[in-house]
Amino acid sequence: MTCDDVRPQLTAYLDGELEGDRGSAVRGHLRGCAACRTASNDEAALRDGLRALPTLDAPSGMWAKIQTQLADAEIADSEKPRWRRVLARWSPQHWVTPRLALASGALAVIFCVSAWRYTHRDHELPQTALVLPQLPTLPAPATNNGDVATEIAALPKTTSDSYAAAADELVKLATESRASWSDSQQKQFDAKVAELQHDIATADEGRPRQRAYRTLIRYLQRAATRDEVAFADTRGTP
Amino acid sequence: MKFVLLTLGLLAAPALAEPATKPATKPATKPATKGEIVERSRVEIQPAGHAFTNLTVDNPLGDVHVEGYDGNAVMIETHKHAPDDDTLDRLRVSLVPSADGSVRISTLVDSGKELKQVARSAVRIDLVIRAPRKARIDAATSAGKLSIENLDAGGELDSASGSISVKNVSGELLTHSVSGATSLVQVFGSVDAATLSSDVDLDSINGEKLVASANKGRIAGRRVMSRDIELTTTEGKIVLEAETALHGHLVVSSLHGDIDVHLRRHGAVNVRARGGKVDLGQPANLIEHTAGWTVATLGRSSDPMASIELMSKYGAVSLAVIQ
Amino acid sequence: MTDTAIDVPTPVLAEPRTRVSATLSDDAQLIAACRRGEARAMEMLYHQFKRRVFGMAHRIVGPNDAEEVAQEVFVRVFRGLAAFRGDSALSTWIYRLTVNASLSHLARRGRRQEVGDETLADVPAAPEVSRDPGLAARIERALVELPPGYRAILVLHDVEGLSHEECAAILECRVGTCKSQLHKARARMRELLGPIGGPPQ
Repeated sequence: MTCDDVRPQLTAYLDGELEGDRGSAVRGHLRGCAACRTASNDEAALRDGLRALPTLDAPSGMWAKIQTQLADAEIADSEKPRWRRVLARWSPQHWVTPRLALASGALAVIFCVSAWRYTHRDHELPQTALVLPQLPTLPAPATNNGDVATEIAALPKTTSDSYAAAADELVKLATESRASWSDSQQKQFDAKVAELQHDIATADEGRPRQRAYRTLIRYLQRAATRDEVAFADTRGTP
Repeated sequence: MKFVLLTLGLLAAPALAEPATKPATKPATKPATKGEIVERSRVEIQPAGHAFTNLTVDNPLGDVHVEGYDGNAVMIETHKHAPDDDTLDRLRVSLVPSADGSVRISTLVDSGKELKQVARSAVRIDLVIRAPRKARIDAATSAGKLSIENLDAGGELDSASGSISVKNVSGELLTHSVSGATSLVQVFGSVDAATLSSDVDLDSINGEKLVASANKGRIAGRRVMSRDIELTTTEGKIVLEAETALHGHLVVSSLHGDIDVHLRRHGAVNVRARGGKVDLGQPANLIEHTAGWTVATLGRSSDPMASIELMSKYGAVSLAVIQ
Repeated sequence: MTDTAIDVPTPVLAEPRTRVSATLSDDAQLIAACRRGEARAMEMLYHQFKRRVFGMAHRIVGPNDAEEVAQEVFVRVFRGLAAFRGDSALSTWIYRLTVNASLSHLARRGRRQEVGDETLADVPAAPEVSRDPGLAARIERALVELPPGYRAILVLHDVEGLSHEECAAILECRVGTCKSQLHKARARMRELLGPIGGPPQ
């Protein structure tokens, strides 16, 4: 590969978009070529520098000004004849032809009349959000490990871990009791425990898994305190 | 569009039988102690069509209190605490009503600016909710307190370390906590309460079934009248004052904990007990020892018989019966 | 860089600044509420997008006009919500409005230096250290000198951390075009900045 081949690919390489051998080919060239290395270091530093630019805060008075502008626009609206307003709303910039617009505009008005009774009784959103799904497909940035959002996201696992620890202890205790049971009781116990552990492993993290843990814990508790596997089985699960 | 709606609204208003959704009060933002900002606000949701039957609340950021009342709306008061405005902005409460009569309320914190961290202890959202009595409650907190009161359709309550408190509730009730103290008072219906390392306190419970378990915690019960009772601990003491139901069952067992039962019996009872030390409070002529069990039958065997089993592997078992 | 161990830059997966954009069903509820004129929903939408809109506007048109442009964007958003057909995510639509409003503003105003009289040529070349505290300031000044088109793609992809797909949707071009624009934009920035120095983090 020559420098001319590599330079156009540097951006893609640095952003992790070159796969497999294409990436290693670039890397191989960079090992041997100081000029391209410098170029790619520069670009990486630029990219990181841009990424590190401070997040800007919107000025605090901005919302009030926006509301004023919206209010002014509404007043201006009210002073236009209605057909003009409907047309304006459905102007070409909104990608709908005027003739079609007038028809749908009228329909919209009719819809509003019938929908009024329903919608006004609908819930009113509080001042805060509809939830946006939070999905870290990439590992959480290291800088935010101490942040509350990260901690909250980890809560289901933390709670499940507490259940897991209790279950482990109880397995030990139940095993002590198990020693004094008959062969068939022991087999029954082992099978049931295996089944419940399978349920735990296949449950979704969070409440389903915790529920599965609780079932196992109850079963083990009964086995450990009552010495009667058959009894523990028939009593059912929480 | 807004203008058109407004006009229609004015025309339609006299025809409306019910008042419109109450506008939420403007959030009051006032500084609390130590440079903390507290914002309170209120929202009311009216059902569109069916009454609300299910309320799901998920709040890992603070307390949840739900109280039943005679009405159709769900009223939610949110209290947000944050150290500054930016963080306050990140605190969200989401409200999703569904056509089937359920409402889902949850809280979360938006992930914020990359470099600004906020400690969990610095933020809080508490929810105080009034709901129709007939709504079933499914609520979860993490470290926050979870309490429900005056409700008729039972529910499921889940916490990690937050305490759970139930008062005057009927219907089927499930509660679970890792280390939150659980207290159920005046519950009519089947109950299942489980904790890992905290105490369970039961007062005035009546219904078909009562199952309570604590791994490392105590169970205390007073005025318990359920038909089928099962109390289990691994390490904690169990103290119970109960009334037997005719043909009822009572099973109390522990690995290390002492068991102390005071029973008011209706009809006959058959008692089996096992433990490090067993005292059934009966004259010797009524007591038998069979296969390691101490057994006694009280009352006439022709009467409806309730069965009682008390077992503690390493602890003391004692029973006192009054008729 | 020593002689014995040559530091080869390795790709770093660009970490988006915030989460992936919302699913359309969540947007739909918010939009519906705003269309009904519910003040709270409108305010909530504003708070949700204010930093990004203002930030993008600021970095494209500069500090003096950023607020004016951001306000204009929000007015357009709320007035245009009625016609928003939901064929893109709400965020994509709003950022598109932001970029368009910013670029139009620039075109109307004519390009003009935002940062006093100092030209880039006067900025001394930075020493070759990987962490350069002055770098941020130099980058901000260099951004101003970039042609607006390049400025937009750098702000969207590198500063705001949006993906190529999102950038393409916002700029209404193909993903391939976006990528090559990004490459050229970075190359141009490097010319303006001079040696930046140091191995990447």
